[in-house]
Amino acid sequence: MEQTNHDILLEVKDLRTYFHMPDGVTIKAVDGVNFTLKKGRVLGIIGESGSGKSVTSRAIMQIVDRPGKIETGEIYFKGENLLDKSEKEMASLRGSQISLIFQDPNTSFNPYMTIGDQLRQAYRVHRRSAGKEECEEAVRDALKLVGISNWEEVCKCYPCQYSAGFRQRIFIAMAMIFKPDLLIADEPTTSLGITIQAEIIQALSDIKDQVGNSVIIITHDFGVVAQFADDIFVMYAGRCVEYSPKRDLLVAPRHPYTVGLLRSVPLLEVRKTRRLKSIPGFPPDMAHPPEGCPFAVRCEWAQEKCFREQPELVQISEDRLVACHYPLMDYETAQDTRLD
Amino acid sequence: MSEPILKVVNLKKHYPIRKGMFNKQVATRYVVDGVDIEIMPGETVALVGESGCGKSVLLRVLLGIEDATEGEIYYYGKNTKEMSKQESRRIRKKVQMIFQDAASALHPRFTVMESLSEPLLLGGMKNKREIEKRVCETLEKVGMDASYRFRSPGSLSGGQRQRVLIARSLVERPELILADEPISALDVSLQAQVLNLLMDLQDEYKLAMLFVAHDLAVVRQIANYIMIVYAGHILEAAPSSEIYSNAHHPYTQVLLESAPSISRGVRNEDFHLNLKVGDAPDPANPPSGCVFHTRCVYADERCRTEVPEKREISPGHYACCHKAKTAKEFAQEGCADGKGGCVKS
Repeated sequence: MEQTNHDILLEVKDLRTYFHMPDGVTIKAVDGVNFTLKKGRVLGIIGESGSGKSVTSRAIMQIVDRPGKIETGEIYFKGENLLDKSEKEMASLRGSQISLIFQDPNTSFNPYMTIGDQLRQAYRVHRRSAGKEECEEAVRDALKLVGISNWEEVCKCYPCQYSAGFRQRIFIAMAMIFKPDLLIADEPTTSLGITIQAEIIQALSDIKDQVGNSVIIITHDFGVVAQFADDIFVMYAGRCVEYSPKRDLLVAPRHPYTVGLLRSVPLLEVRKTRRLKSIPGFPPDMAHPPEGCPFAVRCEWAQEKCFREQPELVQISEDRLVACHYPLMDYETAQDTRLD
Repeated sequence: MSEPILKVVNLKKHYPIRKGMFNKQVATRYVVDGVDIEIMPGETVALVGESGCGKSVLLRVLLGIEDATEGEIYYYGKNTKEMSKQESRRIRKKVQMIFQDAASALHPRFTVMESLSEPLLLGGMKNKREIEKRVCETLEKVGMDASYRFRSPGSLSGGQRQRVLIARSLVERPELILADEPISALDVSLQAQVLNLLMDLQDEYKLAMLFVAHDLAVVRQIANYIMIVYAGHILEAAPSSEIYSNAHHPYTQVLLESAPSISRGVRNEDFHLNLKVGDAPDPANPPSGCVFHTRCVYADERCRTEVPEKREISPGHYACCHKAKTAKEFAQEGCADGKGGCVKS
């Protein structure tokens, strides 16, 4: 049914990616993730480090490194299951239809090649017979898309001649050279300063307005998703705990973990409580995940059932999903998350 | 009025760039260029600036790890240049630092106990039992079980390591802590834990703190006085409530705009960065006039040529800008591109 829906660009069903370590331990990095992404929307995936955000994005691209393995799941991109595709078919999709931006702009480039050569090389991956002029044109368009007007000069330079923020901009240009329908940005601003971060987010949203692509942005920063995303997807211990349109999630979070994250973010706005309320404890060890709800030990609302049974992700209103036995109500959290 | 614990007057740190066979000095890197700070007992001063603006170098100079090129540093009213060795050693016990990267600041082969007892041994404490007691006490103060003292840093998580680092700075019962981005390497939920811990300890020991951070949201809860650093200069300094409600420098306004804001996301407000696309200036080649003019949307001829003086806007609130105004006034005037929007160079 849903696959015939033309609005849906990407649908992930019950994705599981495990890492089988040489010493016999299995780390369940992604343990049953479901989500859908509509055309032209921005999905923000948020979670602490080690919650499986990056592995999810890599699984969509099918570039999970050994010993990681996609165990089960279906990933429908434009109605076709990516997991049924051969490596050759996947290779033709990567870069042209789905692109990935990494966190560190320093290691994403070849230091010995000029920026122009690297962009042209990226273009020739899918257009092997492209002539010189066609290449130039594609490179120019891509750099203009990210707001670089002196593209001829930039092309002659080496990556090390530019700052991290500018390099990230060029890397976005490279990822957008074929104007892919889906851009996955894995912590694109984490290593950058705060004004540079704002510039990159601005560039990403300008691109989205011009090209009309969908974006998955992976981050641990609520400020970034609050500003840029349409929908938010909260991950904890390899699973989705809450999925909701941005506004609803920020105003009325339903899962205790989301509440915990929201109230531990230092904000510019004054809060009613002077101290930040942090989440006690640490995320679980994914080699030995606990039996019940993985968040139960850190949850102040946990009850006996939470330690026994793992909650399923259930629909609680038209477009909101929560994986909790006892989703919170507004009046329980208002005091901590509401701003003055 | 009591005496400030730390007073810094016109501090400068320049690094020479040497080249060629005879190591001739060809240029200078102006990393810290004229900074004044004053910290009273029990007060928290925050230094906020982006990476590369000279915050960390400033802390190193304050601790005496590196010598200042120019300017004076006074601890308890005493100039560091005139101190005897004994005096400076005594001062060092009272001034401690928390480093940014806990993974590299702890010795990997030392157990927590060894790391924490090192400063005590150097400080002249000899009784082993007393040292152990102090270490256990301090560990408990930072929210860790005393049994952690036998662990090595490798077996601790990031948040625990940061706690050990805080414990190490507290073990000598200092009066001033220099904290160099103590939470920026941590996850969101841990950031809150560590920030709360620092605030609790501050209340308990009446600590003064110089807190370095790269965004304004983080220091909102903790700082009394905030100084905005850019390219080695202080652009604006004010009591924290003034900074958040009445910022006068365009750069402070940009920092405020680009800090994470959940309520802006809730209101679905469009987000405009009032800043020229570009990078912070190269410290080896600082711009003429105001250091910020290369990225400032309000800059005019005067900003390009004339270095702005420190101006007092209200008591304790200083800004270094020819055009210092609140964001509202800038918008009303509608001067050159002041309506908002990212101006592409």
